[in-house]
Amino acid sequence: MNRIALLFLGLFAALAASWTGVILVNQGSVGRLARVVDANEGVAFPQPMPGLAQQGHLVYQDLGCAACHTQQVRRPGFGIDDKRGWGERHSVARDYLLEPRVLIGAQRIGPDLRNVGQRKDGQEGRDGREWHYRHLYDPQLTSPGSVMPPFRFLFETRKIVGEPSPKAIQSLLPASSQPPAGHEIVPTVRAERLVSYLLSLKDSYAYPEAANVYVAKSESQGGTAAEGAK
Amino acid sequence: MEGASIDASVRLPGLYFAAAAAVWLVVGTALSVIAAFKLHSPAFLADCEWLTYGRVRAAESAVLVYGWGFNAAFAIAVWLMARLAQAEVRRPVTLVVSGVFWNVGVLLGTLGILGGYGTAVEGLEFPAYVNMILFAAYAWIAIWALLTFRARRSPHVFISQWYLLLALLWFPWVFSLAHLLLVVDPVQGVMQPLVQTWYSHSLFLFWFGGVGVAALYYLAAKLTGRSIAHYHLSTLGFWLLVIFGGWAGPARLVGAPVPAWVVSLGIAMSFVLLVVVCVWACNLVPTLARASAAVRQDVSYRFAAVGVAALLVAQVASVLLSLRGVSELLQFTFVQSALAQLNHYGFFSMVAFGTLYVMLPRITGRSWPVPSLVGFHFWSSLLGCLASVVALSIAGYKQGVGLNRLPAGEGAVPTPIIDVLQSLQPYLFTQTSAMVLLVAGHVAFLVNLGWMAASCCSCCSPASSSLPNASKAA
Ligand code: HEC
Repeated sequence: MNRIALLFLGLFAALAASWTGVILVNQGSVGRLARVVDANEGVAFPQPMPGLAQQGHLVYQDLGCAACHTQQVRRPGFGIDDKRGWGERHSVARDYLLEPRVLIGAQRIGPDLRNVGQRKDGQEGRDGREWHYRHLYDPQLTSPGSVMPPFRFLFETRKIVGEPSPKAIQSLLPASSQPPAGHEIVPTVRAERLVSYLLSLKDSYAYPEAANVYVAKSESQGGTAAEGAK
Repeated sequence: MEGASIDASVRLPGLYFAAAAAVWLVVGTALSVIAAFKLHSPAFLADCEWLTYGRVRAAESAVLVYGWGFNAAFAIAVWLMARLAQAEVRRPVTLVVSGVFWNVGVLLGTLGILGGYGTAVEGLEFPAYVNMILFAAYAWIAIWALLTFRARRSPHVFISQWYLLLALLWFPWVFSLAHLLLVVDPVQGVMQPLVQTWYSHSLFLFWFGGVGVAALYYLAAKLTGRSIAHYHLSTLGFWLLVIFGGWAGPARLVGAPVPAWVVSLGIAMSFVLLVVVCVWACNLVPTLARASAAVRQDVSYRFAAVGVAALLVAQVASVLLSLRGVSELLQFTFVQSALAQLNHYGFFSMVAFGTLYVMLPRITGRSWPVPSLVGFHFWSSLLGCLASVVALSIAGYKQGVGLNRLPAGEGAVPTPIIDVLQSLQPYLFTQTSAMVLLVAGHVAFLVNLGWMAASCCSCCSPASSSLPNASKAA
């Protein structure tokens, strides 16, 4: 019986120890991280996501985009995320401070999306919104050979009543995807939110800890690391 | 206490959990087929929001873990506890009632994920309220198993019982802590991935690992009729696992924006776990190797042998994959899926099949209705699992090289991601075929099990069971 009491006690102690070590200690440090106030700009970073983007984050979450996309840029010398243009700098803990659900992801079937807002900025239309609509409607239009699934259910084909909607996107689509005469294809509210979220994805602020890229020479055989770090 | 009456006391809950597990297994692997198919044919079922890739993936893993894995583990844990304690399970009906709650929870949760109400937390995808149902049902089942342990008649506590206690006691803690810290009141920023890896690592190491290893020790001794080789080492392995296992989770986060020291510590701890793997190897491999030629023909023996091999390979591979140089290349690739397949399917599911093939005939007092389906199940599981692990490993390696290495030559630019994906197509096709093979095997298992359950129930039901007695009396 005593051995069994010991077993129970031992199990509990080991569990408590790993919880303390892995979770509690970090909760006291990274778990308490605060925003950085920029003296020049007088604003605190990271800035909260705009409301529409926050709602889009939920769409991203519920459609499971994270099954194929990470949102963590690895540091120069550890992979080639920098050379792929996935970010000007690697991701740091502070970047995720205000996110209700942190989706750093674990599989890269598609590109990292941490800075996709920046990448698509200026492509097709003011901020890349049109590119995203085309891509979500049918990835083959923008990226032939992609395995990203089409998200056509985020769009609605409807009869034009009165004036055509300014949001209609069929003019961006090829002849084969045109709606029947008198109809138009418009993004649903969810599509608008999702794209707002994608456009908001950019970690541009240079936190002090992001500047200090600690690529040990021994870890990344020389050259590439130094190159990436600059 | 007679073995037969102990077995009989597990009949109802054992059959219930096994049947529920088998149904979820077919559902889960059917979802695997859909997900795998979408990776080479993205237009497949694309207009159905409920079956979009991200949701199918989440539902698949939740069904396989909480539907198949947990039900199978409950069946095994309850039966082994009763057998090893040489005590009957009292009031087995209550286990079935809580089992019904558990499965209703899994069903609601799965529909929730497919309907878009999932939490997107890997390993805890079900909507928040489902976790409450699961927790309550779990608590009841675990308490029942612990009460059976308490009522034990055998003075010796066999190593399997230690592992079962580990699994039963550890899971509710990690589950409720993770639920509180991730779903109810999520912690800030990158603490979330940290808690998440801590949870899913504990879930697989202590819950599935605990039940699976317990079953392996039992099967090795039982099937070969010999005692476990180097048995004195087994407690050492157990305690090393308990003390160091919980720290190894964050090893997966190499390069992620979390404090580097937890990751380094995790990697160091996973090296300690290699000692545990050695202990398992020393105990299980020689014991199984001593089996007679007749025993080697036994399907449970074969499943157990495959399970041991997968366990050892998967543990060593996961340590290698956490090394920085390796994870630079292979993190975020299909190699991780291959490892998960080896762990969850190659190890846990194979061991669970092996145990269920021994357990069900004993608790029902019936042999398997269609013996050829048993063999078919074994071979399709083995080939499907092998094909899947090999295909995913090759695909993952190519993916890693494509994504993380510059092509040779001056001023080379990274390979476009679509070209990388195109080069994986043959392997992704193989993966789909492997999943189809698994579904076929699982359907065979379900049919055999359903048949056995039906014949067992028809003779237990009052109408037919009163007849033979009456005629005997006459
Ligand atoms: C089956 C895996 C898969 C899923 C699920 C998926 N994607 Fe993709 N995604 C890809 C692939 C592959 C690419 C690269 C080829 C392309 O541009 O389509 C990509 C590219 C992208 C790009 C362009 C990135 C760039 O740098 O050009 C964006 C934006 C994107 N995906 C957003 C999403 C969103 C939002 C979702 C969820 C609604 C999603 N993806 C779901 C696989 C996927």
